Amino acid sequence: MKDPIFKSPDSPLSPDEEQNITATLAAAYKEYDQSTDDPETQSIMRLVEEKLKEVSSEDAQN
Amino acid sequence: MSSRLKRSTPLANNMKKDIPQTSLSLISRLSHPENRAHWEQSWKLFLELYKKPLRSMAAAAYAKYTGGGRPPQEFVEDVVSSVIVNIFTKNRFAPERGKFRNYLAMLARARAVDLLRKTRPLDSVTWQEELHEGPAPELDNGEYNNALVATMIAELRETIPHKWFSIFEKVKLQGIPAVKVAEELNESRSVVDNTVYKALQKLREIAVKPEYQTEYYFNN
Repeated sequence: MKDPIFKSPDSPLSPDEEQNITATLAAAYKEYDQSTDDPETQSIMRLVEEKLKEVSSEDAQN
Repeated sequence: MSSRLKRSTPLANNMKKDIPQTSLSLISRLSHPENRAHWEQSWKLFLELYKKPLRSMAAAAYAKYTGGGRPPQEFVEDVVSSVIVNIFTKNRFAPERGKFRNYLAMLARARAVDLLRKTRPLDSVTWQEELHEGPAPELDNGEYNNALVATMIAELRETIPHKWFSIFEKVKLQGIPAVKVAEELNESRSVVDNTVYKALQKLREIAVKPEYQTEYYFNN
């Protein structure tokens, strides 16, 4: 069963469906309403940047 | 309450940047971009949205190939960063060949095996066989679905006027009562309600795009 947010926008929403959508949106938002400054994210960003530099360097050599 | 209303969140901050559209099909086309600035903004937003499911995919792959082991933090970070670099440098995702989440899981498994081979080369033959023959590791639908919905929210932010999104964000995403938002913004309650309705309708239009309809899993 899919969340009612994926129903056609032409279909009216029941109060329960609208409540479900609100819960779905709030959960997703809360999940990403967290610091991107956390050490793990920063560490991954540094790694990505290092690896992208390596790729650029290899591309330049080729 | 006013401080909460004014608080800038990481997602909201990223949404405010001049970023390209973020639907999955557009993300998948960002390989070898000519615009470096857009490219960097794109992968950083992608990391923010998909870090959690990617982390779980990396951990699941590690557990699968090590007999249930729990990966060190460095392992997960290395795999997640490698997957992101893969996507943005030599992306081979083709929607007609499968779901984006499966493509991500495949990349996570492949990069996990690469890393395990480096650290435990004696077992590499076994991993090679399992990579090609074994079932995909279990994925957490909830994390991936949250990432998808967050992607839709990011797309909504780029689609509607800033003021609409700001009201929608406060009422629907942060759970602030409409009456308080109306007071804070010195707007009538009906303006707030109408704006929330219009923004929600726009979000529903985004949600019916094939890439979201295809990718979303709910309790299955």
